[in-house]
Amino acid sequence: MIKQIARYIISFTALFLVQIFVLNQIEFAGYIRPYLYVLFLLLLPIDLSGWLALLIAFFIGTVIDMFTQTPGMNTSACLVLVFSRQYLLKLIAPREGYETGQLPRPEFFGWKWFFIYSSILVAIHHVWLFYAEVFHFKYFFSTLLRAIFSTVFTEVLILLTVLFFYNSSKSK
Amino acid sequence: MRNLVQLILKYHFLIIFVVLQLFAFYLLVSGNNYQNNKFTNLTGNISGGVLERYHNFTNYINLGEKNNKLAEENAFLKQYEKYSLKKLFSDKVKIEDTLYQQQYLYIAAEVIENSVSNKKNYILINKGRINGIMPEMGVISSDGVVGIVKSSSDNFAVIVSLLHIESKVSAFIEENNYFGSISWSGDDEHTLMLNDIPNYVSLKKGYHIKTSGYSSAFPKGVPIGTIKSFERVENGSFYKIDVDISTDFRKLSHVYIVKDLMKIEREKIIEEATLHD
Repeated sequence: MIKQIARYIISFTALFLVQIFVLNQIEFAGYIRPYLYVLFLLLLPIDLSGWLALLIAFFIGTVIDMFTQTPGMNTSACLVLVFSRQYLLKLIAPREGYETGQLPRPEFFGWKWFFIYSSILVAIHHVWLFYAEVFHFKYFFSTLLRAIFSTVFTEVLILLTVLFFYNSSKSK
Repeated sequence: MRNLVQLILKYHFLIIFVVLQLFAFYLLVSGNNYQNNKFTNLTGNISGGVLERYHNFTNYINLGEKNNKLAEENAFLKQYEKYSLKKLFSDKVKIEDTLYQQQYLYIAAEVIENSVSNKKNYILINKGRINGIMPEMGVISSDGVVGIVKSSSDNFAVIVSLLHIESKVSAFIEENNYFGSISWSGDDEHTLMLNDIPNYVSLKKGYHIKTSGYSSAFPKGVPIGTIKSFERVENGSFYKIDVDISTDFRKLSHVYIVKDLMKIEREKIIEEATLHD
């Protein structure tokens, strides 16, 4: 248990450092902004209680906001992500249900399942985030376009990260 | 009562979500407020410290180019030094120059966090309230206008970049003295819009746009950019003008914060004059 928590803390630190000091410093064509740090929320254990997941999302969003001078923006989007995650997990559960200790990773449910799971949640997070940033619908289409492009980019980064760092031991 | 507790237990997930989300939205809305940004005051000192350390590290990479630029600026300023001026009178004549009075002072600061890809871009600098930086002060670089200070903590300040969809700067065209206002469409980091120029004025590509000095944020004549293209809007009485920004926001490193020594006097007389309207 403690080992698992330690592992999550390390993975959060790594994702946070990459987000703040690498991804936020590079400008991708002016249009695209990847948010790899949401991977941490995606990989939380399936049987984690909802309220705890919400508090974790709140904490992580606030930390990211502190470093991007965008109070509330990432926090709000992270909460929406975790909130919809709870329902999405029920929606795409395997026929026999989840077993305890299973993690939402390709090594448990396959790449197709993980792709659907992650891309839906990343899209929700990004759409919410980009509209929260602009805060009105004046730039409706350009905001949507930014959200879509960024979603694709984040998703690619997430799949690569999972492939290289989270796919080691139990692969089938 | 028991039912209520049961109800709360049953929907605790939804309730916690709504409460936290409301708090996030409160931060989001009050953070967009120009005047008092508690969030940056609270967290600026923590994240600012980390970002500054990171900035100090990466700063070395561009050091050569930055040095050249500062040296150029020094050279330019040297021409106003006393020793660059020729003495026209003998030592015994004392001249008290009352023609000029200092109105603006400049505080130099370094950029430690900056972005150009958002719709609302902010810049974090390494000077704050201790150095006399207050909200609504103008910020310029050696190339031109950068933005306006949004809030300051003790050691750091956040600047609303010109590349912010709600930023607005009063400007004029140097060649023909027409006034308008500068804003940003949010699309292209190199292009600003100049609004309110009536369509009977004759324009040319390359005309210089500078600050008007109508607000106390900037002195008159700080460069903003040059006219890139312009067209008459059908059924409208104003031009649609695209302006090439003179500041390269991607390379921004050293900025100057404009302190208007006559700001209070200026605000006071405006207040007095409009009091009895």
